[in-house]
Amino acid sequence: MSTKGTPHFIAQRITALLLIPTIIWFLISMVGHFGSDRAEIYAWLANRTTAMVLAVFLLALFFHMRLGMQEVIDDYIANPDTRSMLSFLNTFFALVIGGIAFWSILSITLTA
Amino acid sequence: MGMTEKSPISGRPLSPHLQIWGWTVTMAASIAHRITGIALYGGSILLAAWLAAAAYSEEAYGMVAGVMHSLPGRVILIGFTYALLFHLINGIRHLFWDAGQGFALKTARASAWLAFLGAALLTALIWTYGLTQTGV
Repeated sequence: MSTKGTPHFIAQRITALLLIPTIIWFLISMVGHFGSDRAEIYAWLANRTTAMVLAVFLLALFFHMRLGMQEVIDDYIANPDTRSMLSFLNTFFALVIGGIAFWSILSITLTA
Repeated sequence: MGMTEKSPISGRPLSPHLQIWGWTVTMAASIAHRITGIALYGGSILLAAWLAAAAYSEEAYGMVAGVMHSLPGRVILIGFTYALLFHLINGIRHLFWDAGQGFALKTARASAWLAFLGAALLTALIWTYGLTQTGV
């Protein structure tokens, strides 16, 4: 990442700005669903507006997370081979876990 | 700060040492931002598992919900709530700094306390409500 400082910085801020309202919305939604069963959660997730906001939220979240972890790796891991391996795993993790989350909300809203 | 040592011979202050320093709230907020960020990174697995379980089946959802409703599950969720709120408030602090605002020592200290205590207060409010809704 040593030559990608500025794009990294900007992307981290853009995702942070997107995450402020979406995180607040997500937290309020979760508070509203304390004690909900699967049917109620499913109905909430199936709602088109919920799904749309969640899609933006999840993309920003997994992008932001990957950037933040990249910074930690760059700061603390001196060995270049270890650093490359951890950077690879970081992107891999964000894509797999983010992909699963994204697929889940799409499949619910598109089949409901 | 009051942590500058004085030379026993001359009585004059010694240079600060690299490994001798006292904690300040701004330092604590800085490292806590990183720690909560790393914790939330791990927490994303739970978020994805919960969404996937909702999409998959009643049994899968029951399993994830069972873990989240257990005592250790709740402790973890309360921890994630605090981490999320702290990272959110402290993140906003960082965005103010990016805009060149809030650097005065007094402001930086006050906003660091706000991040720690604001997150604690909101976590307490959310979960006091949550536990009345779900039963302790």
